[in-house]
Amino acid sequence: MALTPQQKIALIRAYAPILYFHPDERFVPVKPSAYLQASSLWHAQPASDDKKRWGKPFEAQFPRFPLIPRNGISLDPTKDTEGTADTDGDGFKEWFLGHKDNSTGIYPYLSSNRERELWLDMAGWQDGDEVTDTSKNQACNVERAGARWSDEANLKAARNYYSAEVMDIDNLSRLLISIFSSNGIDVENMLRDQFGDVWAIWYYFLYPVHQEYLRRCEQFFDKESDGNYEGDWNAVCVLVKKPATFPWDQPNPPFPDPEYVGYGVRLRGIMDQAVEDTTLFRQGMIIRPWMETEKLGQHPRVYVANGYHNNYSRAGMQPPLNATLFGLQIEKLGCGVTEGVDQIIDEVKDTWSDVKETSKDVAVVVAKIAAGAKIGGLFGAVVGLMAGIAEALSSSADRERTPEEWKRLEEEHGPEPQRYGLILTPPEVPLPVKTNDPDPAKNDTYKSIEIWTGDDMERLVDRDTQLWWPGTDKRPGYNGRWGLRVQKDPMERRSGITFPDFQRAFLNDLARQISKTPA
Amino acid sequence: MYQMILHHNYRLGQAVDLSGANQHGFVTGTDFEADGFAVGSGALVFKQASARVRIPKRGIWDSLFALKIEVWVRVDALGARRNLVEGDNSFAFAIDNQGFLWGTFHAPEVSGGPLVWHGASSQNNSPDGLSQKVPLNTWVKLSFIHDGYASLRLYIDDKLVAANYNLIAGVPPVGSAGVHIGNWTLSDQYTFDGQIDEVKIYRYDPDEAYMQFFCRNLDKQSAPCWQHLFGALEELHGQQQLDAFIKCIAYLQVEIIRAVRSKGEMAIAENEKLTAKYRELWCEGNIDSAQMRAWQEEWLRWLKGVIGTDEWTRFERRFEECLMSTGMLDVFTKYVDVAKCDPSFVGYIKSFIDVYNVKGA
Repeated sequence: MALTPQQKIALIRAYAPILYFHPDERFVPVKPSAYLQASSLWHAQPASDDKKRWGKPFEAQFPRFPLIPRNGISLDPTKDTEGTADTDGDGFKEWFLGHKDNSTGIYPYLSSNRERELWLDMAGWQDGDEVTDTSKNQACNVERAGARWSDEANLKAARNYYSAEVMDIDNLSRLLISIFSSNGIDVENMLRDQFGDVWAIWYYFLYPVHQEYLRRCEQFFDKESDGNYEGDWNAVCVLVKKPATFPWDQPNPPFPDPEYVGYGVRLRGIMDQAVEDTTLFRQGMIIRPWMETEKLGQHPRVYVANGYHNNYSRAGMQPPLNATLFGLQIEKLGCGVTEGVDQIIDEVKDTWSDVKETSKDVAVVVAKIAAGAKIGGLFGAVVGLMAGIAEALSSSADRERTPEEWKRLEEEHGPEPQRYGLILTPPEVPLPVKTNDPDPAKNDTYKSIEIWTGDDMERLVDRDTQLWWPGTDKRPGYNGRWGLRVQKDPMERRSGITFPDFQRAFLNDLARQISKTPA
Repeated sequence: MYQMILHHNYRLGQAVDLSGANQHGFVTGTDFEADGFAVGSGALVFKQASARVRIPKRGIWDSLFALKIEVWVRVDALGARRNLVEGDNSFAFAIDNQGFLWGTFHAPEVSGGPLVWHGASSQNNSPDGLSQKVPLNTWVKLSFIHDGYASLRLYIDDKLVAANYNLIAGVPPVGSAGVHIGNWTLSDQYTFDGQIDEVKIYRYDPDEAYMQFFCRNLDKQSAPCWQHLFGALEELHGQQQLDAFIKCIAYLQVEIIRAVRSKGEMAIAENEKLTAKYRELWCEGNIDSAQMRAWQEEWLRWLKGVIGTDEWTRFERRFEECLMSTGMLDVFTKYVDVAKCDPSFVGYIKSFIDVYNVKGA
């Protein structure tokens, strides 16, 4: 029998996570509906990082304008005025996000694909809100985003928020069939064999901005970061085996301990060519058996990496994920230095299909030839070739990358153990820190502790009525990006993301976890 | 140079891909043993004619070039060809009816020739002249390594048992029937007889060159400089000569590497040693040091020696043709300048020019 909303809320409250942030963290999870209503809605036709493809009018002329101006999005169907009226008197005319074009049957503010892509603009670009023939539009505006969520009263009140969803085995079965029927493995049976029936309880977090600290790159360029984007989703999942008697049935047994916790990590920029399903592989979940997690009661402690908002089961620096499982996008290592030539190589390599796999070797060789030619003319070019060939011969060596090489790529800064910034906690755990040790050095330090905000019913995901969750063939929902597009972003590192497919990532990684180690 | 794209361990009898590349497989017609080459490691038992693990064709199999396969198997019986892993119209790794190990791929065997299945076997291509068979009724690791350029080598328990250094093509894309483990791609034939515990497959790592190039610590001055250089190339794009030049260099580079790796195991081993030293110096940033100059001298001497003077000269001429026919030498000297912002690289190039002139004289 399907769970009632009250039963779902009971489960959500029982396992609600405690989030520990880094002291330098600038952004906290916010309410998705508030974020949407504070944004403007743009489209690109087709999807592109070229501003000529953005917004209205459709002719290639500037300035360009959004489909819906900032603060104009309404989630109320009674305000479906298409911008002709300010029905609530807040100074902004309203456009209903779920508006349907009756002549075509299309939802113009929800349907998004590569031919016509939607994206939200919450705080504009670093160089302003406008898209003109001279505007750069190359980076999101981190400062302004921070200011909006700390200064505007309605947004400030929408901070420290999570949304939550409960899936039971029937929901999971439908999902599993859709995911794995084309992939071969019988994960449903694997899960049933391991656990019987389960609940998967999801906690979703939307951050106004993702700050990606490319540490080596910080040394290179006169800007703090090169991978920031607006609208950053992440998630935590708790997998619970259904008990014989539910906690809400007589004699009201306690909620069972979970089996696993999935910690959402954004694998942004994973090599597209390495995996076909980039949606799945850009979102990863680190799965930990419950006994290996840190928790207070049945509430998992989750340590949030500064700026990245990736979730971890342990505090402190986070080494890169197992490189034999996930190949970090190498362009990240190059700090965007090669983006230009990558685009060229991508376009021309199909004309030399039999050796196209060596295309990045070629890019390095050509760069060295070019540099050598400038230094030493023809001789310089020849030794540039030699220098490049040395690189390529090294690439051809019979080796695999060492863990040490991968470690150098990138590390994330979670809060150090016992040295926290903000802590967001459920009301059941009002003091999620150690403060009573006679030795003060052994006590936790923290900037502040705040209780999750929001109404339980409101935070419960309802995909039938809450338009901001991704739509399907059967149900309308917002499928666009949650942050603005930026120019010169061919690898889509600095443009907002769509709502990630956490569930697929979780089930896929859970299957791997179960296969690797005894449950 | 290798990037893992598939890793099955069959611990629970399912073909779950642990590599992260999402290459899960369909398991059909097999039985399951809880113990494989280790207690509790799990293994699939291949006895029925239809027994196989099928990995559907996905985009990742379109770009292989190099291919490395490792399988842990226990062979119960021969009497027919026993397929280990086969990619439709691309590659095959099998044991023949006498127990010899075979590795083949579908590509031209000679320049301009038709596509044919060819490769190496432990019967005909043994490096020591002694044919080697796969042992029966015991767990054994079997490996197939095609380097993408010139060599295909086979190993039994990490011992080289077959090598062919005369290849002229990489491994082609896998066809629509996908990859099959323990059976043929097109029908129930060549079924493996025994147990398979683990399979790992790797391809050419397309990012290896960037990995190496950027392991050197650039700085605030040099990084934007190289970005400008790559950006300048981008600005040139659209000019036909740049496309032509890139293509010209792509083939020349492959041929030079092929020339080295076709010279056999000693040349491959020496390349490993020299390039390891190069990576160390480059990544440490010692690129204009005396050690790098010594490396340049040693490497250039070795490279010319292993390739041969005549072939070396031909490569030089072809490179000059690439530059001159496309007019790119003029373009590069006008557009690109790293001299002012990466003095170490300038030192590296100037040292190379000195070494090259001395050695070339």
